[in-house]
Amino acid sequence: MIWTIAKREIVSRARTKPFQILTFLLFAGVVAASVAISLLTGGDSDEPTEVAIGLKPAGAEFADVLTAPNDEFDVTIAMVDDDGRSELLGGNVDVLFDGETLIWEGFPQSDLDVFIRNSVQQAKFIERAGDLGLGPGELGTLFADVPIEEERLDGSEDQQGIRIAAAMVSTVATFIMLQVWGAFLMMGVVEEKSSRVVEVLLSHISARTLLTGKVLGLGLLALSQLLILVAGLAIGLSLVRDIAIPDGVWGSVPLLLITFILGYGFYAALFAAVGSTVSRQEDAQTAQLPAILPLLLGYGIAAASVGGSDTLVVKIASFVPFTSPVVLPFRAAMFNPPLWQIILSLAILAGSVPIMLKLAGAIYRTSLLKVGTRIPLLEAFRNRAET
Amino acid sequence: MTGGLKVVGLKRSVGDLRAVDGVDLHVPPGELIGFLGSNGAGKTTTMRMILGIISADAGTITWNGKPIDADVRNDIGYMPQERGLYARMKVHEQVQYFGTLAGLEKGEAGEAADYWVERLGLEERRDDLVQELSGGNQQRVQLAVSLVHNPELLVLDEPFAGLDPIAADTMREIVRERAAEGAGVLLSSHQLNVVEGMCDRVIIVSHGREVAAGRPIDLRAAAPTRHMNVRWAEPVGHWQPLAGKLLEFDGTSASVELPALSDMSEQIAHAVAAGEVATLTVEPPSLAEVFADTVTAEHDIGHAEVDDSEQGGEEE
Repeated sequence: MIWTIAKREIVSRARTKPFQILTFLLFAGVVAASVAISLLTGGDSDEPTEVAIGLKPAGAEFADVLTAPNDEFDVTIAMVDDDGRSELLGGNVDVLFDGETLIWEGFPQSDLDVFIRNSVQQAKFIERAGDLGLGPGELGTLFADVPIEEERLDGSEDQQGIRIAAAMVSTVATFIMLQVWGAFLMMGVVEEKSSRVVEVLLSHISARTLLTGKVLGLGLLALSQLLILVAGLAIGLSLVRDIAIPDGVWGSVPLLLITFILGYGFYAALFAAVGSTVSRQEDAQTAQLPAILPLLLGYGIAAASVGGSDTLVVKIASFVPFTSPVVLPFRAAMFNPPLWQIILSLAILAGSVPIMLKLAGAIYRTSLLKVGTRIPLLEAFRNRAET
Repeated sequence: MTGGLKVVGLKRSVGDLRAVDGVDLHVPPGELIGFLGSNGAGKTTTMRMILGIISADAGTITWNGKPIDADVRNDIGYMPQERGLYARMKVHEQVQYFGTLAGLEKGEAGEAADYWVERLGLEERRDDLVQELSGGNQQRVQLAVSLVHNPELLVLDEPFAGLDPIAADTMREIVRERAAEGAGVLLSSHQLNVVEGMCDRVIIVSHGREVAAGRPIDLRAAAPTRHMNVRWAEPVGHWQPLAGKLLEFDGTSASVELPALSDMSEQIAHAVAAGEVATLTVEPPSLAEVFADTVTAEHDIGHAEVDDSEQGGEEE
């Protein structure tokens, strides 16, 4: 019977335009975002960028040092006259240099800017060293590398950029998915209540069966949507180029899925209970606040800790079931906490799901047939034994 | 007399209000029982308790001598007062879905849905969304939903409310047919005149209590008054009845309220003596009239304070 209800939820929801559009948008968004992430974080392994530098007569002496082979830029030098603006404005060169001033068309390209400054600095440096009587050999000795190794006690090897990206993607994905699917579930509950179809349903099946079927059906649909998103992420990353994805990133996918499943169970129950207290879709917006706020809080805590440290607040939030669905994937990707903490957090969340389902189920059962104005959540909770 | 649905001493309070205060009901197989009373009399609450949608504070509800459980509930077809259907689900699909919820296999439910969709004249709309249907057609779908699993007991809450005369006829026909095939039918109405002709027995409730029960003809016969309507062939001038009250007189016709005497021949003879009689009827008052005082008084309360459909607290 539960499966009959679940199947109806899946079929009727999957048929709606909002669902199809949302899935497509999320998929496209994830592909685009992962392309953007790999572009931003994977620049080092690329071919040198082609640039053209216009040198005025006063800057001609730097032509050699600027065209010296390097990883970053493939430089073409154009000798220009004292004005040279037409070359710059015409787009023939990226920047003008006269030995003292860099002239840009607008906002400087920061990489190129740094490159030119360093090259010029280096040329001047060698020149001055020569003046002081140091030959190339002595200079080499002076600036020989002092190798410093890095060791991390947690055994991680990835860069922070990748970690931040993985942590943010996990948090944002969980946050959006929980909110969206919670809202879908709530809309379904309100729809059944406002259309009074719930009375016919309850004449055949119990409120518990109805709620379980709805949560299960939408949950399966949500999970498949999440898997589509993960596939989008993989496609997006492979589309661009081979960048070194640290193990930690793919390792966070199973954790993300587990957290989402448990978090969905927890929040679906809450959203259903909230939905059962209103009789009209118009009231649903305000009624869902008690469910949205803790999610938002968790998201805020995670977002505020990007690039920061594993503070006590983050630690606590990763254990409290109201915030852990959003904070745990973030903390795991960002701070690489000990495994036992992740397992403990998941266990607390898993343990709280049945409690939440029971409480929410009681509110749901009591409130379903009360039509009219919105029932305050606390009152609905106090009334739960009545039906 | 243990077969069918039996309700004894059913009670349910809502806040300070005793919505149902000791109702007894018996719906034997094959009988059509009218559950009558004004809005707020406790009909919907009673029906919801029978369906197990809400629990009773006291009293017992049995089906063929056994308490009602989930299995039994699948033998009941319920049509709630506030119609309830999924607006964005197709007609046939919806009827079939409720069939499976009532325990039918998917194939069986599909065939049953085929039958009822055709029977109720919804063949051309079978793949339309319910929200695209007219109100009357949605009612037909609602009826199909309550019948799809071939229930042994029909519980219909205000089945005639909002129906046009043709749809009401179809409804009456199908309900009678189901009763003839052996199903027990409990149907509620606040319009006594609509259902008195079709019910084998009626139970009239007021403020959660039974005020009368029995065959409509017996309840009417028990009334202390009779109506006599006379029309003469020619104007008779001045005329007064022997007893009772002259309600209307226009020279050629009269409407009289008489006391319910065992022998009416003297009263009739008095009318015949006045002139040639074209038509003459002597009848007990209708059910609606018998209980007019109660119903009218309650009807006002019903609108002001307690309405089965609109007031939230009343239902729980």
